[in-house]
Amino acid sequence: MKHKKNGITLVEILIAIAVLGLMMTFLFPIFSYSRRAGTTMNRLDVYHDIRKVDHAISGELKLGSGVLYPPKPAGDSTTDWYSQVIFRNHLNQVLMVYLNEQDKLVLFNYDDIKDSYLSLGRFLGSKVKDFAVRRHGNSVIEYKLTFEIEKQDFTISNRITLVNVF
Amino acid sequence: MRRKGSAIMMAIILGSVFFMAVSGLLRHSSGEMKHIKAVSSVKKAEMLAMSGIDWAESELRVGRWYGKDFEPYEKNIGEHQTFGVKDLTPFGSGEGKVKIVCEDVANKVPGENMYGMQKIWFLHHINVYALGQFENQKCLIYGRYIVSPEPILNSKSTDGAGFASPEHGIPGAVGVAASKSTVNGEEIFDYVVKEVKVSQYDNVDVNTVVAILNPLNDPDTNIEVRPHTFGVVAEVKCEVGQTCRAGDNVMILTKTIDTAGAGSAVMKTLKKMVRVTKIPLEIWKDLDIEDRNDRFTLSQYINGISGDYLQNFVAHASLENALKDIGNTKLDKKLSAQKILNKLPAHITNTTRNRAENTFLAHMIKNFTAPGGTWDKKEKALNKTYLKLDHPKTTKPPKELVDWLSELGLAHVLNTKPRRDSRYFDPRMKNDEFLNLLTPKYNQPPEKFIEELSQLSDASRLIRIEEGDFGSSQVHNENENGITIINPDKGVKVTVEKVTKKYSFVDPESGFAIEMQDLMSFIKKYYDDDGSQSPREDTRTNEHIDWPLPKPAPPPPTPRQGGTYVWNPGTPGTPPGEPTWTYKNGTKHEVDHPVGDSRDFEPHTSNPDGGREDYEVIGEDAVENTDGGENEESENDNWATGRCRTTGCKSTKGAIQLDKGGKWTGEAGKPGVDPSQGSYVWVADPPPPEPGSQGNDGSDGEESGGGDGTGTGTGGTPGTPGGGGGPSGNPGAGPSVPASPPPPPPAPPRSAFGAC
Repeated sequence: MKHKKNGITLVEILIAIAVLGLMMTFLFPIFSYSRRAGTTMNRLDVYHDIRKVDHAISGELKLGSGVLYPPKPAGDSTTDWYSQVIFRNHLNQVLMVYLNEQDKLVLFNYDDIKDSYLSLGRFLGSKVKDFAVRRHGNSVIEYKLTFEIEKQDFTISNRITLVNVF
Repeated sequence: MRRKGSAIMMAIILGSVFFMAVSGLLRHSSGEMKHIKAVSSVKKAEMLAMSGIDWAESELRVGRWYGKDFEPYEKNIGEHQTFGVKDLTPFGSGEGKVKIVCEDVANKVPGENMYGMQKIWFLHHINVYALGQFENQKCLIYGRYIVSPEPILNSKSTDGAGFASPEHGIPGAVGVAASKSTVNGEEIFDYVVKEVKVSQYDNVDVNTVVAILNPLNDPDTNIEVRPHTFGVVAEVKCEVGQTCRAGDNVMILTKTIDTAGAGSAVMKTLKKMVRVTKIPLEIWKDLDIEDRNDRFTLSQYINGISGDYLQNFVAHASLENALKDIGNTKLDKKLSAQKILNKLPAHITNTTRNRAENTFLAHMIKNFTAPGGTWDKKEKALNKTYLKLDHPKTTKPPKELVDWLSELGLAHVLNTKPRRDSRYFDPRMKNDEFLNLLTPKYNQPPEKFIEELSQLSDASRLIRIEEGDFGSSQVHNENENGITIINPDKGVKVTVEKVTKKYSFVDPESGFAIEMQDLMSFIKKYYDDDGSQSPREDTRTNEHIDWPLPKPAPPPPTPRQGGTYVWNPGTPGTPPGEPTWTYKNGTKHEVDHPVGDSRDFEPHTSNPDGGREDYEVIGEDAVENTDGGENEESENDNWATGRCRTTGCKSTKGAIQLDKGGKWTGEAGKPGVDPSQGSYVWVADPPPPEPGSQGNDGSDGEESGGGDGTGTGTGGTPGTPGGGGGPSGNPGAGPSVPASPPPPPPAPPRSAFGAC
């Protein structure tokens, strides 16, 4: 007579725990990598945005022919940090870089006119937490851009000499 | 045996998840890398192009590497290249390259009778194109290298002609030349030196008679020679008894500008790379900067945007005023476009071209200091720069003259222009103070504006009183050059000559000085292309060729008994006629001005300040403003109309015309006639004079006014400051004022005397 056993032996339990443990060992890193990959991708997006914004601002600023705002500091000193920069470009057009109420950084051209309208401006980047500018002497502008991603701040700063300033 | 379980399935699923996560990350990284590479390539191409501009600036500061030395008295045909090309890899091999092309742009009008040349071209500016290339990205940047006083075009120098090729042996020196005069209706070109009244190192000015000449055939008439500027005599080039011809220098002056305690200032050449501009790809994508015809197309584009550059400069007076009001106050961290416009208005100030030019010139003068140095130093220097009137003191008239004039009731002729505003005569007047004096005159033509900044007419007076029979009519004639008064009752003729003096810009901090005429010419080159001419050939064979004067006298042969070697100076030839240029196989392309849309300069006849136009912003930011800004409601209502408040929106600005795809071909003008070179001729001593005869026939025993054989003075009546206005008299200013009167015709051969 065949005797049917019910239940599981201690050895089986131990094997099951071992297998589960082994699986968990593989699973955890996978989920962890996945989470980290997402974070890294977000950060790369941010870095990319920052680079684009920096390139756009520095490209416009470096051929500038004059700074109208922030005001000129006395002598070789430096101004405080301001939140906008207004300058003349190589064609003496007046441009302004500012942060709008939707956290978008905008390049606004006072001379981009169609009939009686001014173009809205060019969005340089979004999710910008802070834009700060200060002026060194007559022709040097330093700016800082801060983006906030996942409660972390990323900041880039640059210092540009305007080549067309008299 | 059948196996149960899902381990394999689970492994596959987990593996897939793992693979997707990793590959997603890798793909994203790769995409990111591509973006980074693209952005980096664009940036590198720009940096390479900028490096090219920087390289060109530092190179051009020294000279034009593609040019050849200037050769005075030689024909310059087919030798001088109009451009130079340079390939560089500033960041190392494999890190991209930059191609730099520098191209000379000539002044439209040549100079005459200077630097050993009858006709000579000067450099207006240099167009610099730098094409940066990194991988598949390209960037073309333009820069304009401007120089003043102007260098000689057919040379490799970028120093002002008076510094690089000093006409008088000393850089920046000024010649005092004999000038043509009119005696009894006859024009006199040849003189004998009767008296030299100054010696080396003497200080002289416009009222100093430096020499007295007699017309060759009229020893009883005295002609006074005066300098047209103050200075110190560096060399006396004539002796009593010598002959000289109109245009010959009788002496050379050097100028020292005393900066009152800070040493002395020295005249220098101003050089700078300006208007550094990134040219849009759509303009140059099918052009080759090594092809001169394509560069001509590019220069047309640059000419086209030069007006925009000027117009934009003056367009935002309201914004600038608002910014002044804001001062150091910080605006909110985050703003809408409409809120910005409420604080910083976008009103456009349309104005006339004259006012725009003069405003730009004035702004630059107010902010000008010597090149180089830190901003701190510049700012300090700004408070000290000034304009100095050439020999500012007015000569105190002799008592005898004053008494005479009082007796004649003509004391008023002693007064010069201070009646307008005595500040114009200040020895050292601050720039901004000077410009404030000119503020009401901003709508006059810029040439007039520049003249008022550069010189003071009627700054001094020369008065002569002659006694004799001058007819029976009372005469009182006055014009801008002088006054003639005849009092027949007293038998007196009073002649008043009004003398113009120049202003110089002085920066005492750095010891830099430049004539205001040259400084203004420098600033005008920022935007002005009217006075320039881009080349239409690679080597100057038809256009912009210089034409020589006869060479100066070499040392004479060894003297021998029985006569004298006399220098026959030869005669100037005729420069070739202007070539004709034709543009073939090309098409006209039109491109829009990059800015301005409906904006244009107002006609000169309209209100100089123009009309104002208010603008609103297209798009969401404009809408946003309807939510807030209660105080700005009325403004918004106006904006909501979406129309210009004033009628100023009509566009009169045409598109920029570009000639593309064709070639310029030139047809030479009428051939020139070479000058005949001078030579020494032997003139035997005349036989002893017989009683009652005079010894000079003046017909075939030849000699010359020698000197350096260059330029001629212009105009002038007996006793005017010698050769004052002529280009030869002032090499520093000459190139900037090329439209000088034509030189007097060559003097006939003259009899034997030593030459001035």
